[in-house]
Amino acid sequence: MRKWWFAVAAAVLTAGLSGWSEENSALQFERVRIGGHDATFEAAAIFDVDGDGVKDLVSGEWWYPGPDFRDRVHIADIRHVDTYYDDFSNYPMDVNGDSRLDIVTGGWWGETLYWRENPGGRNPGWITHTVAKVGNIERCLFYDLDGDGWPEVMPVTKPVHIFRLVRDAQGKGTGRFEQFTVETDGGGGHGLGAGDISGDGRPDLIFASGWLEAPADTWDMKGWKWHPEWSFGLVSVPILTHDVNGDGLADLIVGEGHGYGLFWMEQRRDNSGTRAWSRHDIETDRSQFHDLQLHDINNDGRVELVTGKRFWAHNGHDPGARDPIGLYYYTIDNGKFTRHVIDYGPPDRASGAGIYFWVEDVDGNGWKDILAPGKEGLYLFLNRGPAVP
Amino acid sequence: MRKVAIAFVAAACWVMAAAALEGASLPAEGDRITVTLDVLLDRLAGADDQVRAQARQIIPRYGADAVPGLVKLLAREEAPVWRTAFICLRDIAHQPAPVTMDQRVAAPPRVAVQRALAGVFLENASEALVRRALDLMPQVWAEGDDPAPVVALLDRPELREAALRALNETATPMCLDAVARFAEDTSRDPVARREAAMALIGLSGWSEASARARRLLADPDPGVAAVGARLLAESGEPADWSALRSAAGSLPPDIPDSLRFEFWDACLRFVDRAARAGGQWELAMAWYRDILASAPDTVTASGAVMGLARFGDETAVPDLLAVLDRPDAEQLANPALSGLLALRGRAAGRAIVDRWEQLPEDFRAAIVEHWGTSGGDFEAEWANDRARNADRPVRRAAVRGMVKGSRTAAAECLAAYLDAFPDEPFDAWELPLRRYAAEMVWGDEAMKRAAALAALQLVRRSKDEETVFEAMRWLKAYPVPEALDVLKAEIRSGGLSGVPTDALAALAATMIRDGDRENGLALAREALAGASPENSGKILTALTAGGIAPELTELLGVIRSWQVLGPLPWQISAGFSGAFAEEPQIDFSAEVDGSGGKVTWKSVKETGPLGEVNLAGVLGMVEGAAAVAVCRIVVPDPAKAVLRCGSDDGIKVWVNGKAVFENDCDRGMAPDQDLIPVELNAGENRLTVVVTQRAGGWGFQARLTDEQGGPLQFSVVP
Repeated sequence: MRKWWFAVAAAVLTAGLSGWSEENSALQFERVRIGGHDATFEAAAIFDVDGDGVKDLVSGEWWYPGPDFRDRVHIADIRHVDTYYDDFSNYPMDVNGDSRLDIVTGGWWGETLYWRENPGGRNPGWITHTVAKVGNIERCLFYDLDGDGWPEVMPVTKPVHIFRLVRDAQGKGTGRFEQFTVETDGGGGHGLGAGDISGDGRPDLIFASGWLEAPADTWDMKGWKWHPEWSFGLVSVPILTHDVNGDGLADLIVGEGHGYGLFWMEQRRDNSGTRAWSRHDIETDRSQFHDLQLHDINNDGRVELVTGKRFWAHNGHDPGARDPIGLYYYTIDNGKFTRHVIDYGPPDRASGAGIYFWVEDVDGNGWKDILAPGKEGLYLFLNRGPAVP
Repeated sequence: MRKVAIAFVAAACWVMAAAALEGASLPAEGDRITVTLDVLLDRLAGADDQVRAQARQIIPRYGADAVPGLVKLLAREEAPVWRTAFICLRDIAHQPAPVTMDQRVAAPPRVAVQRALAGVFLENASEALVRRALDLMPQVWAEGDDPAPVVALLDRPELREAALRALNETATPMCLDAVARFAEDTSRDPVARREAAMALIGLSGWSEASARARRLLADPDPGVAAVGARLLAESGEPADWSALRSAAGSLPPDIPDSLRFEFWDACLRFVDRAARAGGQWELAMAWYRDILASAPDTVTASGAVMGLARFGDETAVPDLLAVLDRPDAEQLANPALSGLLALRGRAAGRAIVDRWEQLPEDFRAAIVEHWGTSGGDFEAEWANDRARNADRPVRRAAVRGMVKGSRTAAAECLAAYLDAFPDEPFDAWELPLRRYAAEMVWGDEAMKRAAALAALQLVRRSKDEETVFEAMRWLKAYPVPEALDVLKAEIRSGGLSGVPTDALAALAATMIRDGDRENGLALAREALAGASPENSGKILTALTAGGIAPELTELLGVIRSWQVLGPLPWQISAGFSGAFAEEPQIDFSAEVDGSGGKVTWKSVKETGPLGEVNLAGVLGMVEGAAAVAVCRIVVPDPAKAVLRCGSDDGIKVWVNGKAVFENDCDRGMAPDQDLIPVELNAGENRLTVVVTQRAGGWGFQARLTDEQGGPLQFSVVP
């Protein structure tokens, strides 16, 4: 009994002396810079590129074989304009059914949706295939709209295009996409998301000025119904759908892609079922939240909002362009967002989130890591879990 | 036998000759090598620097064979000798392993050097030789080479520092382990152990560093433990924080302040490293706060303040302000202010503004000056606000910052400030303002205006002639309404010289449009007085650009009422020598033969703002024709005046039947192309104009002024 008291006293004394008891829950990340100073592409992904069973990192012109990511293998030459690359998404998809994950991407400058064919192994000869020229692509959204288990590709364009990979009877990709164009006056432009707003079980499409209600048949291009229920600016891709306050209705989480602000839109309905939306600010003085994702990053069984600044989203001309950059996750508790800073500072010593970052447990320790690309460099944040177990 | 003797002598001569050769190539056989190496070593040890330099070039080629002799020379007192030997040994240590004829790789020459040096350390060698050998050690020792002979030297106080330096620079795991063992050995002298432990600081890539640091941190000797803390600070690993922080927080009360400082300094270094590493921002911030709250000295606390500012965001603002309420606030105030200035981003700026009233006045002044100079949009806007609304010291600082930061609103704020505080010494503003104006004058319209406002202050307040001259030049380049008095004085003294007439007229037009009619007209009048045709045309164009001609008609003497006849036959070749050599017959009721049939007089009362008559519109589009225009001018007294005309194409003028001007030209019309002195009689005067038409546009314009270009009192008979 006496020893037990001593132990408690020692623990209390130690905690009091060291003063770190408050931050016990803070996640600890190991920041690793990937590639050289030319690794300034804004999109990145984590997947097993060479099929060796080890996850690799992909960003722009290069992929980095795991598990150490020290080497790099060339994928393709990508058009470079000012501080941009014509490469705003890096989504892994076996497009041609050869069991190797290819990359689907698009960019602003080339106005074209592409897929890059994985040659296997560490061979550098990736071939870039054109899917369609659809106009400036701010980014792509990959979402399973028709519930068949395979994501569709939606470049952020106006009008709204949906691309479906044509698959064979075994579900393997054929290398060919079908293009559908939603026949509606609404939708399109900067800001795109997908989620079930109406609560009918079908994913709707969400835009900066309203949403398109999905028809019973996703591919009935005349059946999408436009609801102009809000008016945002140049907002994030994606616009997230999530029941933020636990009232059973889908709310929106929206980032200002080229200005100050991060907010959520609360969906309410009156007795007649009429929808109303009210805005709740999460951030007012941090800017350029261009990419948002929901992941359970602290393993508490609930999703957190992971996001960060897209450094120089408009080449230094956005509000807050010269403010510090940062990478954050927000715990969500009944409508309250609490910011946790993973990284923060000037772009020469900190990381933002780019336009298309990736969250996945790359080292297999059970904690999701973050691959954060951007004009400031490519950084891998290895999640070590809470700082004090 | 005789042959043998001859051969022996010949061989000896050959060797001697070879040895005498400067820069000779390597001998090929063993006897010769031995002999030559000895000779070369002798030469290296000799007094002739040139010969030594030659020997130094060749000796390293002997590799391991040269090592014993070189080590002996390393012990010599003469600096040229031992230094040359040092260099030769170094070169030999760097040579690759030789490959034998049967392709076997022999031991590298480095091994021979390493063994020879180990021998030096083990022998009772002179201190000088040992020190030189220690200097060579980092270039000779490889992983796997036992550092024990060097470690043994740590017990010799006079050699300890050199030995530790050698071990630190060699930095093989065995070396570092040996040093760590020495430092951990509590049976040894604590001072020696502390020195040894310090030799482990600053190494990167030693996998054992953190573990050994922890052991040292737990050492019973506080001096050694302090070095352990310093060593552990290099890890920056969150797992190490607890041990480090606990050690710093549980020091006995009687520990010397210098050692206590080392523990806390280690904590600060640890957090700095963690913050720089990234990915653990919240931990680093919490640790900085902890240090700020707990560090027993203000130096460490200041470091924590700066860490919060360097890496922090808006959440650091309350921490930085809280230090002002501490007992040691006097020491921490400057770091806190520096920290507030170092924070970046709108969020941090807003957090500071939210607590503005809590800030001491000197903080407010420093912040607004900094923000005015280099802040972002939010900060600059706040500086702008304070530059207009704050108390004098803060307001002054804000204006100063805005001037330094070349903010567009700075000049306006400065003018208001100087007006509000007439006792403000202007000397300190002169140079910043000159720099400001010189930069802004190259910018857009708003910046040019700011440059002019700054220049106006310089003109009005500077006592330096050169400054005023320069400022006047900027003011002329962009005249602003605020500078009206200065500009008028300048015009009176030097006319329009240097002032862009269009800018000046635009200024007058702006003033008239904004309601300051009297001053605007006065400026326009002064600007127009005596202006050249080219300048007055520009002025008129600018004055009428804003649609204010009705306001200026009287002032400008615009003639807007004519009787016009045409088109009349006219040939280019005739000019004004044919039908229009004399004034045409004036009979307003007559019908005459025109170039396309009968024509009669037409009354024209709709002109352009400067009296422009579009003859093509009135008489039709023709080519090779002429028109006659007549008006009657009434003046109360005889007057000398100037008729200012523009025409498309040629023009001839009669006054009261007397030809006063002709210009047979092919041109487009612009105001005041021709200035024609005329004499008018009291009462009515007839003004007759013939305007020729070659092709394209066709028209004319006329106004009547006094001789100086100012208004002339007259009326036009309808």
